[in-house]
Amino acid sequence: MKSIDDVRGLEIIDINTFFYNYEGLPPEVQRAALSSFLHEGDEFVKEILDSVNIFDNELERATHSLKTMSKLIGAIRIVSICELLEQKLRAGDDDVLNQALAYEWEVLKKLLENENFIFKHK
Amino acid sequence: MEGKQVDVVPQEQGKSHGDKLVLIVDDVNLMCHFLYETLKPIPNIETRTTGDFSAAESILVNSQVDLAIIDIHLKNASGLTLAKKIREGRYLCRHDIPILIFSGNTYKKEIQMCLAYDISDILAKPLNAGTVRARVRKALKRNVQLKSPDYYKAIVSTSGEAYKTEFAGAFVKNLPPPTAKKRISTNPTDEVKKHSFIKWPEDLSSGYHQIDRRLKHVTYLLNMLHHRKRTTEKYPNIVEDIKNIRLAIDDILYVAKGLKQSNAADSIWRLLFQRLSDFSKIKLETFATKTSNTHYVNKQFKEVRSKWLIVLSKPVMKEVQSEKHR
Repeated sequence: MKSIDDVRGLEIIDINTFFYNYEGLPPEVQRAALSSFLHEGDEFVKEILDSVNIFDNELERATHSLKTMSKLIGAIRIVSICELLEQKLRAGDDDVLNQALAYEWEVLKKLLENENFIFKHK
Repeated sequence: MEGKQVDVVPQEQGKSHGDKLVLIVDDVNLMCHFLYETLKPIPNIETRTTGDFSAAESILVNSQVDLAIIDIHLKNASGLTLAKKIREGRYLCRHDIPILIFSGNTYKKEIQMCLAYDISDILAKPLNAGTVRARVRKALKRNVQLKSPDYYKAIVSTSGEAYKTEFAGAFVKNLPPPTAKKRISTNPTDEVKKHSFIKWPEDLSSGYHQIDRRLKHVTYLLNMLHHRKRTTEKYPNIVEDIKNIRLAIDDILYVAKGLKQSNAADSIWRLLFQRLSDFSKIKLETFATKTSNTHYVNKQFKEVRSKWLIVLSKPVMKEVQSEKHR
């Protein structure tokens, strides 16, 4: 992944990844996972956006956790933004994609808040 | 019997006879939930989850845990520290229980630590539920004779570097073999390494070891300044620390001028002097003023970090592989 434009070429969520990871788990568990993801993810996104882009352990952890959770759910745009964010922050790049993260997170939230979007694809 | 999720340490620590107690430690709730639900269908498994290092320790102190799944990167702690303490026999459980390390990123040094502590399996995130279940079943069936707790204690006491598991990657890239003899590190730099604000680029070099060593030292001093300023309310030595940073930069300039005389053709000098001069213009002394404005302090540190990273960037610093030290 090289730039934010590449990220926007991806699907917002890869539903197959979600169902693969949660394979065999009951639908209510899958629903609870999505809800938990949105709630907890909100906190990590807020933590990242509130930081001043100094790549200390706290920001590293928040970015890493958001990335890992997003991988589990299949939120591949957020995964890619987190990866780009990690690369840029490590390189001391000031352009830290905060706007892109905030925007993509809202897009994902809207999509996931409509459970039918996920479960009708199953 | 179905699993029971407990995320606070209960007073009653018993488990049903014949049940296996699995402890899940991950500071991401979603992961705890996923693992808990994944293991729930396995018969005779009781599961406890926590995202907190000390709560995990309380469970381990009070319960006979049969298997632990631990995330490597916990908040304010390393999961490997917990694994190490299990192997040292510090808890109620057997020291040789299967330990599965769960991680999103796995670095070389972390794998070396896992090998040193005979970690049963490393689960790379994310994992499919069925795979996790299979790996846990396999780990529970395994009957491996591990070394004694004293052996693991000896690793800790003889390998100071290996002991430092908490994200010290900026400074410790290649760990020595786990059994290598090394004195215990009581170096105060440990706390700074854990909270590195600027990571030293291990794979880059100016081509002059005299310069590298000094640049690394300033990096350390800046990390220390950042760490102390952010973590301590009173920082009485801040003026002295800032003065030391200034002196260390002057020292680099002095040494670089000497090296320039015998290596005048090298193109790095002008850039190095320019970058150090730019960095020196930052008013580090403002950190010593009594300001409670965190935002301002963070902004200042941001400038420090980005300007110092410019000093440490190409072409002053080059890939080590492509250029031998002169």
